[in-house]
Amino acid sequence: MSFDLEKAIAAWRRPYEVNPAFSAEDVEELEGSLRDRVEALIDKGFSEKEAFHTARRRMGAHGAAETEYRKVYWGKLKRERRLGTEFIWRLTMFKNYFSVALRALRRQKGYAFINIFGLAIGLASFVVIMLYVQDERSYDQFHENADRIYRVLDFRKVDGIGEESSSAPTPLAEAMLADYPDQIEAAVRFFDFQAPTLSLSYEAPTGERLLFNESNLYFVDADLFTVFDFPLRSGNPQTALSDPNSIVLTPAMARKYFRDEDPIGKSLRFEGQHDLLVTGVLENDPSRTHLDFDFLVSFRTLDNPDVLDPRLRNHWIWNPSWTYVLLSSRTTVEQMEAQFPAFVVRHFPESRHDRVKLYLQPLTDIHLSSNLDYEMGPNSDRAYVYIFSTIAVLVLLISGFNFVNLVTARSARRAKEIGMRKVLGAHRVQLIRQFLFESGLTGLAAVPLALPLIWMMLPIINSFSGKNLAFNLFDRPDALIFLGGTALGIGLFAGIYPALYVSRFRPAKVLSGAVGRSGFGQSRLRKVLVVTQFSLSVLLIVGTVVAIQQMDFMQSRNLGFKPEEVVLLPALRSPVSAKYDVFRERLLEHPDVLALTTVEDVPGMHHQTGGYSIPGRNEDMQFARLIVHDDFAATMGIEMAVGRDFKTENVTDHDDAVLVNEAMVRWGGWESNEEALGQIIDDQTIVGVMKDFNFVSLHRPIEPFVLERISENLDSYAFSVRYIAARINTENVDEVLSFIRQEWFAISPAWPFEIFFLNDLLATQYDAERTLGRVAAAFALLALIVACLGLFGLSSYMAERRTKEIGIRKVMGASVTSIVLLLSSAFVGLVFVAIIIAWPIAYFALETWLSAFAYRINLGIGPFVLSAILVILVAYTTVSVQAIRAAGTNPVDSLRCE
Amino acid sequence: MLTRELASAAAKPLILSIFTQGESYGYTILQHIKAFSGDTLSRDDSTLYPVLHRLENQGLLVSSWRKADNHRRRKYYALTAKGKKALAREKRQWLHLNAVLAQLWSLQPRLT
Repeated sequence: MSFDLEKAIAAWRRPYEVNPAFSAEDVEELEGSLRDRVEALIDKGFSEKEAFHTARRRMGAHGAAETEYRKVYWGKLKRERRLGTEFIWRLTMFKNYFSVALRALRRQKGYAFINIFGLAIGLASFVVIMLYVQDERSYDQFHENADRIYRVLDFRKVDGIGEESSSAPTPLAEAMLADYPDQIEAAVRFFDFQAPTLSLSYEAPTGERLLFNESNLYFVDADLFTVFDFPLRSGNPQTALSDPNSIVLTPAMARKYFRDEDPIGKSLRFEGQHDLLVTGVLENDPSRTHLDFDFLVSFRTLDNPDVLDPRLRNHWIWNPSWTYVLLSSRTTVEQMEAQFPAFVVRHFPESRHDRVKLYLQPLTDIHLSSNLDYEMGPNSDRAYVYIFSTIAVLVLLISGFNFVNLVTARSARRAKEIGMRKVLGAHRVQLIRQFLFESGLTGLAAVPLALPLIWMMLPIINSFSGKNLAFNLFDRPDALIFLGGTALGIGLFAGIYPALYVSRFRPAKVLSGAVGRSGFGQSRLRKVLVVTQFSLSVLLIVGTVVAIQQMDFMQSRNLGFKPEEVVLLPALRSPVSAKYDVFRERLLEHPDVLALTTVEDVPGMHHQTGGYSIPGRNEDMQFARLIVHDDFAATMGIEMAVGRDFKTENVTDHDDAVLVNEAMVRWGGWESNEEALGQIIDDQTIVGVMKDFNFVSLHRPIEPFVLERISENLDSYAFSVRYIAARINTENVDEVLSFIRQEWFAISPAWPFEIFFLNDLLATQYDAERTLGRVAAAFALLALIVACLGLFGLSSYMAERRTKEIGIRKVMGASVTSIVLLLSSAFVGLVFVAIIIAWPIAYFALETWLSAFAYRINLGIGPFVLSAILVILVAYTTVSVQAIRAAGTNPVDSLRCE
Repeated sequence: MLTRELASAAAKPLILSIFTQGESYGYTILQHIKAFSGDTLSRDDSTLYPVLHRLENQGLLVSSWRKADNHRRRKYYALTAKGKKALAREKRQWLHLNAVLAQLWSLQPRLT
C-alpha cells in the first residue's frame, strides 16, 4: 500500500479541526509545524512515511495538546468575552448527541422499550410502596403536641394471665388531673360503652327519618381540641364540647345525615331518647390517625344518669375509657410512671392492688406497634412497614440492575459503529459522552412511563390497605426530583462501563469484526444479576403461597365452634335486650332458629377478664371470661365435655354457676373433667366443662376460660348484653334473617336493626395478614415480570451473537428443538442456582413469620417445589421464544452477513 | 531531566530569550530550544504553542502571519517592548538565584 502524505496529514488534522479548543489559525500553525518537521526529516533521508510518523510523534498527543490549548483558550475567551459562543457550541453538541441517541434508540426499538419499561416498573413500585410506608409512619404526627401525648395503659396480670388493656377506668383521668396538676396539663377520654354500635337518628323537617347504628361514636372530653389538632370547619373549638348534650360531626357524617344543609344548631337523637345539639363540624374526616371517629359527643353528657349509670361512671374496675394525657414539657415518662404504683393504691379497690400496673404509651407509637386488648380499632405493625420497605428497595434495585445488564450487553453490538466514528475523527471523550448521554436519556425516559404506572397502581394499593393514597406531582416536587435523579443516575451508571470499555476500541480491529465476540455476554456480573432476580422471584412466590396457606388454614380450622351458623345482633342498651325473654320465645318458634343466647363480646374475637380464685392455688387470678345467657354452648355449637349448660329455671345458675373449658381444668390441676364438676372457684360452682374452643384469634393459644351466667336484673342486662347470638339453619338464610328482623322491630320499632355473621366478623382479625398476602402476590408477579424482561433481553442478545453458529448447526442437520435446548441450557443453570439460594432464605423468613401464630401450618415442600417449577417454566419459555426465533432463521441469511 | 515544576518555571525566560535575536516561528523556535538545551528542555510542538499563545495574551509577544514559500502561511512571533522588560526581569531573577545557590554550594558563578 503506498503512503499518501497528504492523506495522512489530512487524517491527522481532522480531530483538531472538529475540536473547538483549536481555532482555525491554531490548526494551521500546528500543521505548518508538522510539515516543517516532515520536510526536515525527508531532507535528512527519511522516507515520507517514516518522516511523517516521526514528525507526528514529535508533535505530541492530541489529548495533551487539547488540555494545554484549552487553558489558553479559556483565558482568551474570558478576555474577549466570547463565552457566549462557547455555550452555543456546547448546546449544538448537546443537540447532536441527542439526535444520535434517538437514532440509536429507534434502531433498537424493542430492546429500548424492554429496558425502559422494566426500569419504569421498578421506579413506580418503589414510589407506590414508599407512599404507603410514609403514610403508615406519619400516623398521629400532625398534632402539634404529639410528642407529649401519651395513652394510659392498664395492665392486669397475675402469673402472666390477664389483660393488657389500652383503655382505663373512667374516673382515672379526673383523678390524675387532680393528683398531678403540675405534670399533666390536660386529659382526654374516649368512651363508647364498649358497645360495638350506638344508635343515632335524625328527624328531618320534611318528616324523613334517618336511623343508624353508628360504630364510631365516642364521648370525649372538651379538652380534645386543646390536646389534639382536629380543626373545625364550623363551630368554636373552645366551646363545642363544653356543654352536655353537644355533638360534633365529621364532614362525611354531616353529609350522611344532613346532605347539603348546615348541621349546626340541628339535633340528633341518641338511642331514641337523648337529643344532642350539633355544635361543630370538623374540617376533614380523620385520617392518618388511629383515632377513627365519626361523632364526638361531649363527655358531660354522661353525667346524666339516664345515659350512664353513675356507678358505672365512677367504676374503678371497669376500664372502658381510652385515656390520653398531655404531659408538661418538664416531666418525663419515667417520672410519671414511677408515681403510678402509689396512684393505684390510692384509687383502685384493694382487690386489684396486686395486679394493676399503669403505663404511658407514646401517641406516635400506637399505630405501628400497639396490639393490646380493647384497642379502639385494629392497628398496623411496624414489621410490615419494614417488610414493605425492603421489598420496595429490592424491586428498585433489581430493575436497576436489569437496566444496567441490558445496556452493557447491547453496547458490545455497536463496536462497528464505534470504529466508524473513530475513523471519522471522533475523539474518545466524545464517544464516552455520547454513550453516557444515550444511557442517561434512556434512563430518564423511564420516568414519564413510570408516572402513569404509579397512577394505575395506587387504586389497587388503596383497595388492599383501605387507605387513600394520592400522588400529586405538584404537591410532591421531591418525588419528581427523586424519580428523575434516580432514573438518570441508573442510566449514567449503566453507561459508564460500556462507554469506557467500548470507546477504547481501535477502529481497525473493530471494523474487521474482531471485537464483539469477546466474552461480554458471559460476564460474571451479568450472571449474578440474573441469579438475584430469579432468587427474589422464588422468595416472593414461596412467601405468597405460604401466606395463602396459612390464611386458608386459619379460616378453615376447626375452632371448636361453628361461626358460620351463628349470627350476632348488636343489642347493647336496646329495648330488645330488656325484653330478651320475649324476644327469645318468639324467635325460637321459627323452625330455622335453633338456639339463642346473649354474649358480652364477640366470641372468637374478644373477651373480658374477671378475677377468680382457684382452690389449691391461693392467688386470685385474672382469667378470660364472658358473661352469657343460657344455651351458649348450644348456640355456638360447642361440645360439652361433661356437665350442662346454664338454664334459667335453675335459680342458682344466675349468680352461683360457672362453665369452664378444658384448659381451665388442666390449670386447676384436676385429674379429669368429671373431677372439676362441682368444684368451687370464687364462690361459684362449676356446673359444666366445655371442650376447648378458640375464643380469640388464632394468634393466641387456648387459655383457661370462664363463662358466667348473666344476673337477672335490668342493670346486668343493660351492661352485659352487647350482642344477641342465634344459631340458625343456613338453608333458607334470607327467610330466617327477615323473620328475625321482623321480630326485632315488633319489639323495638325505633331501634336500628343490624345483623352479622360471626365468621365474617372473625375473618376481619386477619386483615393485616390478608393484606400482606395480597401485596406479596402482587410483588411476586412484578418481580417475575421484571426478571423475565431481563432474561428476555439477555437471551435475545445471546441468540443474536450466535446466529452464525446456529446457522452452521442447522446446515449440519440440527433440529430446531436441539438448538432451542442448546441456547436455553445456559440460562437454566443460572435459574437453578437462584432456586438453591432462595430456598433456605425463604424457609427461615417464613418460619419466623409463622412463629407469630399460636396455630400455624407446617412449612411443607409444596410451596418450594411450586415456586421452582413456576420459575423454571417461565425462564424456559422466555428463553425459548428467542431461541425458536433464532433457530427458525434461514441459515443462508445468517451465514451470509459477515 | 528537570522536574516538571522547574521546567514549567523555566519555560518563560527560555522562550522569551529565543526572541532576542529577532522574530521567529514555531519550528525554528523548537530547533533553537533543542540546540541550546539538548533534550532536557525540549517539548512537544503541541505544548509549546500554547505557551507562545499565553505569552501573546499577556502582551509579551506579538504575532503576525507571513506568507512563506509554496503558498503556506507561517505565524511569526516577536518580542514587544513589554516583553523585553519582562525578559530583563526574568534574567535578573534567575541570575540572582543562581548566585545564591552557587555560594551555598561553593561553586564558581558563571556569567553568561
